[in-house]
Amino acid sequence: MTSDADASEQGTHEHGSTCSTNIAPAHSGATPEELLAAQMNLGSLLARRAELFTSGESTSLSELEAHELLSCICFTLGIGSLDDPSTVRFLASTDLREEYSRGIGRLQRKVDATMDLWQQVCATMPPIRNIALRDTLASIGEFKRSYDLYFAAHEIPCSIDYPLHEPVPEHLQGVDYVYEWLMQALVEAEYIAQFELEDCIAILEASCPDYRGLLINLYEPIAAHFGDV
Amino acid sequence: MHARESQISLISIEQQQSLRHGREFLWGKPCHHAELGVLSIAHKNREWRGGALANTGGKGASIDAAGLLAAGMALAGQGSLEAGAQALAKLNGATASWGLALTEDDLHTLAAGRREALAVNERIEFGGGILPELVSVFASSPYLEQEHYAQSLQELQDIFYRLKDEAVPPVPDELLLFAMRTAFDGEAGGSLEALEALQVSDVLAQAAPEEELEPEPGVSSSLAEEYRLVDAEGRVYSWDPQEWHDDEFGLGWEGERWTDDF
Repeated sequence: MTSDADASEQGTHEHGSTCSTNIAPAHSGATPEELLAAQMNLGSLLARRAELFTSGESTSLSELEAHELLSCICFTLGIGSLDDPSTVRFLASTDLREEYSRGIGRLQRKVDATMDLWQQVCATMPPIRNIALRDTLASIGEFKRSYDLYFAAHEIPCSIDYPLHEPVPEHLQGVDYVYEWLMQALVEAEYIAQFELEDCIAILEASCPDYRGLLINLYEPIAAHFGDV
Repeated sequence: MHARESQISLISIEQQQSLRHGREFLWGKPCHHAELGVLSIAHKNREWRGGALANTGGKGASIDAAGLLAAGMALAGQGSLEAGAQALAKLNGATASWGLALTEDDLHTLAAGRREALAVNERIEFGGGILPELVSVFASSPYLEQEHYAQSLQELQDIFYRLKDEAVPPVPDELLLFAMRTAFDGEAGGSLEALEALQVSDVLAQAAPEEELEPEPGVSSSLAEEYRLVDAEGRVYSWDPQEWHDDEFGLGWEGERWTDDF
């Protein structure tokens, strides 16, 4: 629902109000005809995705599976809420199969950008030993391999335990979440990297002797020490 | 209009066209979300079991997630009764040689049973349903009689959706139907109650290929099969090609005559 440039500028996939750049204002309401057309279009796409999901071997899905597929479709299409009349209008008036293909392309590019960002974070982060950070970065390193772009694009197949100073908004899903997480991690890594490693370790040892094993954010004590928090 | 504000239910293209012309079609009763061929258009707060797409605002019109799933069924569909009826009418022709046929009332009853089975097992179906395949697979069973044909199909349909839901990992429809048929004719002895009592693993075991002969050591099963003979009295002779490899070498010819060996 937004252009690629918009998506990359925002650094996030489309969600809620950010996705309605070319859509009529929400308060204008949707007519029953639009609702019907929207349901037909989206239902048709859902049926097609379900067929692919089961490889044509099953006519039915569990409600949970169907719901997950629907969530994946909505995420790929950039639909944050089905409540929004502007969403209804979008669904009613768009060739959803084509839009879905474009959405897949967008997500693929974003996955690639995410992996580039991951490399940048790994290269920038000073070698301060923290198990949660190490494991989280290792897990994100496998993201591209474990990410199911086609049937579970809204899921985050990573173990992200390391707490950031500025947590990523919970409403983000899939690659959007990971991308945002890495963006914030990069900001924190760049901040830490401007100081001497020994100084950082001394500060961390003073503030939290078990900074290696505990789930703590490395940026906070360092920034607090230098008066930036 | 009050009913329309809460829910509009549609079941066919004709009705959709009529809606566009300002008329509305209601079943006259609240429709279950998983109801076959029904599109639910919600105008109220509604929360679906999955939660993630649940409506929250209640302002203006909205799409209900469960309604969408139902829409998928209808669309992929031809999940409508009419389409099902056409398919089964064709199958009636095919099952005529077995002396089995369904009436129109049977079709409606089976469609209603399908909706109920889907709802009970919390499943969403896309397409025309499993009934045509069910009829096709079970029609030749010696245990089906015209007198109880529709009722039997109804129960088989219920069992199918239950087994489908219980199967982990998911099982293809075709395999499950084959397994059900094998179990029905075999272990269950034509008793639907006995079939109903079987666990999904028991039913699927019916479809498992016969256990292969243990291959001889170092020989693949196909080879073992190749070098195996059964005579008229049932005696089995097998050879291990590995044993044919002769690694015992005689001394080289040193000029002795052939006759020296004897």
